[in-house]
Amino acid sequence: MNKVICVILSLLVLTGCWDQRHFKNYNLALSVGFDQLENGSIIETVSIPTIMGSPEGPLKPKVQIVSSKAPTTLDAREKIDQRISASFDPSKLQVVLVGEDLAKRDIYPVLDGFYRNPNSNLNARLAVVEGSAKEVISVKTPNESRVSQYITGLLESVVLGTYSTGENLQLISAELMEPGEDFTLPILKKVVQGDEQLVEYNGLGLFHNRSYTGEKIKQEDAVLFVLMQGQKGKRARITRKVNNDKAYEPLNYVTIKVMKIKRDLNVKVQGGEVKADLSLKISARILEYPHNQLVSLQIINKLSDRLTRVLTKDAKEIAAKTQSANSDVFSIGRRVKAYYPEVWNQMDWNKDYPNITITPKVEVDVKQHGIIN
Amino acid sequence: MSSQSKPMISRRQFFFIIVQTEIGVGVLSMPYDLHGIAKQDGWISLLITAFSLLIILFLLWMLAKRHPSLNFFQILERVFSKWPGKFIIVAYIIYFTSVSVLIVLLFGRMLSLWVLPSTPFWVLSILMVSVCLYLTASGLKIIARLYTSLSLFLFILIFLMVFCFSELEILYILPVAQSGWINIVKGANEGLLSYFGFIVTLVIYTYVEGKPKDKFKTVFWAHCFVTCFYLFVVLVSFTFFSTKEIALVQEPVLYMLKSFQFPIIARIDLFFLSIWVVSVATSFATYLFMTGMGLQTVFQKQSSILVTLAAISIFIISIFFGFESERLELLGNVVVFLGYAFGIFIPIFTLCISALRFKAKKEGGKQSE
Repeated sequence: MNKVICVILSLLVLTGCWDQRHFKNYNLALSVGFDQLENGSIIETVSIPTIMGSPEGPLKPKVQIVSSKAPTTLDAREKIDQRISASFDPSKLQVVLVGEDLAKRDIYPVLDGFYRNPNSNLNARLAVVEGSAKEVISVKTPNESRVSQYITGLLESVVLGTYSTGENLQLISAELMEPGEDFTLPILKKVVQGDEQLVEYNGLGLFHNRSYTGEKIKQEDAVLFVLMQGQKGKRARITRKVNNDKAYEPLNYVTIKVMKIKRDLNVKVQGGEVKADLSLKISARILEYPHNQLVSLQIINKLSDRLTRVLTKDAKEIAAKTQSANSDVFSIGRRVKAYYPEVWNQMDWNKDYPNITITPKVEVDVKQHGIIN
Repeated sequence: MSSQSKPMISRRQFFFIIVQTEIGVGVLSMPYDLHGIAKQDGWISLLITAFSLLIILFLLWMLAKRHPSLNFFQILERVFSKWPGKFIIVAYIIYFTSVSVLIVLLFGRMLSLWVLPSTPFWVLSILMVSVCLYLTASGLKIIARLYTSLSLFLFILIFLMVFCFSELEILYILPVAQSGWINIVKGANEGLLSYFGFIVTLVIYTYVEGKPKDKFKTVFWAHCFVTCFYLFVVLVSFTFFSTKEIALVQEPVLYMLKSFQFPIIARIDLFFLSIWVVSVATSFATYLFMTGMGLQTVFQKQSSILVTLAAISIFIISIFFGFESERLELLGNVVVFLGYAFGIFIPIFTLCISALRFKAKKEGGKQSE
């Protein structure tokens, strides 16, 4: 009797069998791109890596690029399914690329499927592509066998270098939906260098609500911009022109490494007008300043002053740019809502953000100058 | 009736039984439910629930204290005399059964939604019911020990949520009290669902060692612990998701963990879910145990056949009911309503009757320890 019970009970351990998913039955899509067509339908492009065995020699990884046209993303996925050997499975997705034209309309419809499905990987990184996403996914690089690895690596190093805030599918969703908060996504671009195709980081695209405004923070301003959001990657370097008088151009520039930042964002309402003070304190180390004259405290202080002036000017331009794009990336609106709910209820933030006053202030303090003077 | 030696549990075990019974199936969706009515002020609603429950717990304790040597069902029989008492006990058995069915259904729905979409529900149901039946059949002492050791898992749950700390935005719970006090008080009703296990304090009170005052302290601290745990869960999910977004996410806690990744565990949400299953099982087992206790009092028989029958009927009812959203919603509402009746109204009514009938007389002798 006991044995019978044991046998029956051990059957229960086999419950996984209904939901097992064999790797051999699935093709894992690692990167996916969406583009907009004129007539409103979507082109979905996926890269599916497979490993090909050859009679002699090692196994060779190969990447298959498939794309299809359909009105919605899942419909497109069905069509892709009908073109590949096994079932399409997005649960290990690493990168989601959105073409510029699609991003300018609305990115939520293409992402909805990912949010709804419990299997999808919400860690996947997101980027906007200048041109079409299909182009970038189809890039053939000699060094990287997988395009998804290439793009993920690129996006990760962009975050490390403080060029982007490191958004993934889940992390943007709050800003996507909440009024008074916007976000940025890194912009990628395909470049051709000789006969090589490469993908290049090309700044941060400013979003408003659910769509790309078309305005972007340029690559050289991106570090300062990310710092202004109070975030810092593993390293952050800023190069700025601080002199005008040297004939030889490199002598006019200084490169600093940002050691530590302190950001404060104060939102006040005075006389019905929203005022935001954004102060950013940077302690820096000089990485490159080819003068060999950093001997006295005075000169270093002078350099700090100049950097302060130049960066404050840049910060003002950045703030003005977010306003002209109407993209409230600093979540000023949400702060107004939190601290001044009555004011918020009277405002239409979609219209009012460009008219508020943002006063950015950057202070640079050079603390170290490397191992030579 | 209670002449044979009773299984006694320590106050620490009592603490963990309360905690494990209260924390259960509701914890995943509680932030969403609170948010549905009180918006970002749901955490205030939760605190209101917790405070008002404290008063009710005190009343339940008063009732249990008046009859220290009897368990709750025996109290009912004594206070309302034999047959009316038995009638109320049967009503309680039906209530506990319907809560159990609801737990199994919510559990099955959650698993089929998140991890096992093609596993048939009867398998999930039979797994849950059979494991818990095995546990309840071993008696209160074993249950208490197991709950105490399983409580380690609660700290793992807290630990997992700590990973979201870097992405929290306190701004999302501001401005405070924006949704109006009426909604906040209404939201307290939603919070109550997650607390319904509190009736267990009354049911097993007599099996706990110690003086009445100390026992109440245990109840108090267990209640505080559960409230802190819930508050933590609610505040983390309210600040992780934006106010608009949480309205779309039914299981905020799981969803939140989906966006993080450990070096070894790619899907923390699934990891969390498997630990949550333990919490569900402990709640379910307590209800099953209480059902069994009620049945034993009604039939005056010490036998595990009764509780087995109860478990089988829960299994069968759950299969026939199915976890269709609409019906589940209905059952949920019925259970909340019954919860008010059986968790709050009837015990307080019993307390009043007991106070009237046994005014001067003390319950026969002090409990031997």
